[in-house]
Amino acid sequence: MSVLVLASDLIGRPVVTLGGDDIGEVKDVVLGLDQAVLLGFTLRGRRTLSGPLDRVLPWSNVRAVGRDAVMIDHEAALSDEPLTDSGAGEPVLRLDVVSDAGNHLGHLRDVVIATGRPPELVGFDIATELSEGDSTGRMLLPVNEMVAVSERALVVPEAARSFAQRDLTGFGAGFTQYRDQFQAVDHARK
Amino acid sequence: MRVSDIIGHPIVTTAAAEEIARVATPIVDPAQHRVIGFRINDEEMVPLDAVEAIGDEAVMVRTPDAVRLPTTTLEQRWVHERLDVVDRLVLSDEGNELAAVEDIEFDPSTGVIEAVVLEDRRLTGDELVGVGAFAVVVQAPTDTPR
Repeated sequence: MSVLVLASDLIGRPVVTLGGDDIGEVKDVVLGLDQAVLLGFTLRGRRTLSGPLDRVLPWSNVRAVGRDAVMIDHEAALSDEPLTDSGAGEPVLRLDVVSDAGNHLGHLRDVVIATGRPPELVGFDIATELSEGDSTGRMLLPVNEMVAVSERALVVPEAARSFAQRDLTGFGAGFTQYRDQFQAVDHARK
Repeated sequence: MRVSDIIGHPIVTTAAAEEIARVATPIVDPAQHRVIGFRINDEEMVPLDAVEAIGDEAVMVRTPDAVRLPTTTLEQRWVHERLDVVDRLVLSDEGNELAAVEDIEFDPSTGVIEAVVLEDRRLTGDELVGVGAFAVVVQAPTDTPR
């Protein structure tokens, strides 16, 4: 059973090669209007007074996310190219999340990661509009690795809403159920 | 043989029975899982292939020529950056901290690492993945949940 964390929990965690060198630490999380959603991390140096690094860490190059470090194979896992979404063009300031039934759920605040080797994106942390039924303003929604993307928003299955949770503790069990059910659905479609 | 049994020991020539240096730290090639020599100060080393014998009291070399400057990138890093394995932070390749390295057991004739001894478990030499400025990286043990 892997541990669930928010991507923003990784800020400050050292980025370490298999060769045992810390080449930086996570400075910020970059999310985008893209199938992968989590594009990667910007980095900063680990020494006193060292500033942000020019190179970034694409999510696809992360080997493992552990309690104490983000592991990469080699320094070459870092990229000089900025992390941008496939849509390109203007940067998206607010990532809206809608369901495939056309309901607007809120905007993406963070993503949930299952730690391990390799790590996996398993959920969205969505800032919801406050309503009578929900005063927390938060919805943790399970998602599969690849998310559907429209021109303006990330699209999640309406059915995922019934597995929504308000904290990570409840999310773990719900996610397993959700994935089992969705794998069954995917299989039935084929 | 344990690395801790050698650290600080004199390096002595068989030709003149003269002490020419002392062992500071081992130099390890993680890719080969081997001890390839010994750092003696911040500039010089003695490669394992120049070592005639390793006894209880001393490391024996034929002549003072056994001492040389590091040549490969790996040797240069180990000597100039004073890399070490013992008492270092240990990370699994899954990014989790493990207990520190207590010792390294190796075959003195070939340098092959037989065991990496952590404070709470023993790893085989081929479970050693890398040794860098930040940590010693080892394969994630399968006996703990991920």
